[in-house]
Amino acid sequence: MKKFIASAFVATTVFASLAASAGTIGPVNVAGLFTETNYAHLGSGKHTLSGTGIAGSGTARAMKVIPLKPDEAVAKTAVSSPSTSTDSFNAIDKNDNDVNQSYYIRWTSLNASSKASVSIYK
Amino acid sequence: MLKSSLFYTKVSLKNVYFIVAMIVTLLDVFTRLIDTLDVSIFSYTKYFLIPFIFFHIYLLITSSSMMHQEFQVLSFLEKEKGKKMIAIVFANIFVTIGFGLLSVLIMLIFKNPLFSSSTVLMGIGHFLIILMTGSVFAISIGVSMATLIRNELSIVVSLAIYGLIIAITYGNLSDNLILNFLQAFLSDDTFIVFNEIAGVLFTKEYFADKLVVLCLSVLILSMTYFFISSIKRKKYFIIPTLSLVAFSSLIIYGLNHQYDFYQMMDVEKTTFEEYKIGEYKMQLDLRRKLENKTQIQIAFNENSDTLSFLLDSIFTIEHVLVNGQTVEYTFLDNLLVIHDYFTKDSTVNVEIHYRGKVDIKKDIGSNLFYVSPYAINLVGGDFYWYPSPIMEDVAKFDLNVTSDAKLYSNLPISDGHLQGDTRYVSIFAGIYNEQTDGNIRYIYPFTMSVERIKSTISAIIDEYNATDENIEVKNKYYNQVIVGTWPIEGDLLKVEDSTLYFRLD
Repeated sequence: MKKFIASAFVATTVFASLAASAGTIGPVNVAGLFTETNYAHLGSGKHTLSGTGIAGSGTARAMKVIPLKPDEAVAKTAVSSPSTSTDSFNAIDKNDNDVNQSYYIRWTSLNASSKASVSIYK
Repeated sequence: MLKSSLFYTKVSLKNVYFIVAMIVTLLDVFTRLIDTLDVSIFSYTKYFLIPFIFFHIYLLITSSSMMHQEFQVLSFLEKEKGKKMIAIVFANIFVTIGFGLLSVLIMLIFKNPLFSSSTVLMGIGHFLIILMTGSVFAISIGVSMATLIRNELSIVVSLAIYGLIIAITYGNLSDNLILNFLQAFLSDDTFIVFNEIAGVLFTKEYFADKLVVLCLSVLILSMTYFFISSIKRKKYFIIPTLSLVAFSSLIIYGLNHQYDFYQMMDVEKTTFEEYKIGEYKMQLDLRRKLENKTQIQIAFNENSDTLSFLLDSIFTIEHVLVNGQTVEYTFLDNLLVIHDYFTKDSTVNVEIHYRGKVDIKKDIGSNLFYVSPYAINLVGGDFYWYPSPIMEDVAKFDLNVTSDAKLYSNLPISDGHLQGDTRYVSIFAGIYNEQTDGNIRYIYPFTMSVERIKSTISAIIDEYNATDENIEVKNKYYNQVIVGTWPIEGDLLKVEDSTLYFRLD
């Protein structure tokens, strides 16, 4: 049982930190009340979170994956159609355990028919 | 009353969900939370999320099940339902206090011994406030639902209400204080990157959050009491009335309240008169608010009828004097313009007295610039916390600072007295660790290590070397490294005099 719990923890840590693609995220379309993009390893340095509204309004957050703990927002931008808004944050390459740090974008909106194109680039 | 409360406490503790909640808590504490205590006492509360939720679920189940069950042993007492309700509420509060004491004991045993006692006290206070707020709220939902529904279904309904509140607020910290009220039973920074140097600042907004939930809980409980109690006396109406008044005034406060978010200022648009600062004196009070009486000696290089400084708009100006005379001024968009006639080659003494609460947040909600009894972050040049000219020249500064915290600055400090020549003065205080390595003094949060700071600095300088950017940093000498926060628009590393500033992200 102990072994199972330990391996489950390790598995979560590894999966949470796996890089889906390197450098950037998107632009991808997000819609509805709650959408999350795939994880990506961004590397270190200043990055920009950008959102362009297609319909309605909502909030895009750049989320940092924290294994076994709630993920943390590092940047946030309010997006409303049809304009583009951005916010910057500093990404890190490796976390404290020397594993690649992953990020993703979380879209939240109060309007189910909202739609936006979001991305993270350097 | 006490006897029946103790009886219900025993019943509550024998509940299987109590054992579940305790197992989850202990597993969580001993597998991952103990490591957190080594770097931050506030993060412990932040990551206590799962035990909190399990403990709330236990309280919901136990309070609603005890409320609708009839206990034969206590049947003589239970004729008066109101008394039973109060006994159950107190029983569950006793359990919460016990749970809190156990958690505090764990915090005290496993905390980093380098934390100062005030940090530990604040960390414990923060934990207990969050625990009590959430627990009282959970108890009030459980008890009121059991009173309304009166069978096992009440457990399901109260769990559903609690689940709905968690679902609405989960991971979604809002700019709006009202929406954040709902999240008061979890730490405000649960879902954002946390500023470990500041810790939790016990501001008005912090207490408003928790008080609104407490008032709501008291209101629900007292209404429930009237619903079931057979004795109705006029004086009993005082509690629900008071809690309703407090609740609605807090809601009005929340609706009218705005957080101060950082907004970048476009300095290049403003034009400045040509002047030179001779000496800059400050009488600075940094205990709760920032209060500053500055005396600036200015020599003019041209004739002018204005004198401009950059000063953040959060402050209120008490008075402006030029050579001891009151003068007119305009203060808009972080720009203070003094209207008087200044002749070329003349020297004037300007006195500006201002004060204000400093609690500026990043857009995600973490602390950026702040003044509180134990944590201070005032970065000159990025935040205009004193009337600053735009200049590349150094000026002679002489500051007398009153503060309860241990201060760090780019100017040499001795006994609350800062003196030296610099372009911009910065003052820091908070949960810092200090270490001297070689001849460099490192002042950094517990979440970092000197090795990590050193490797980051050399990696960044290598990067600058490759791109030939920011040659300033790589060739400069420094004997002190201070980790602080400033907006992302600024550089990650900055050198001012012999101090290297390192940005915490």
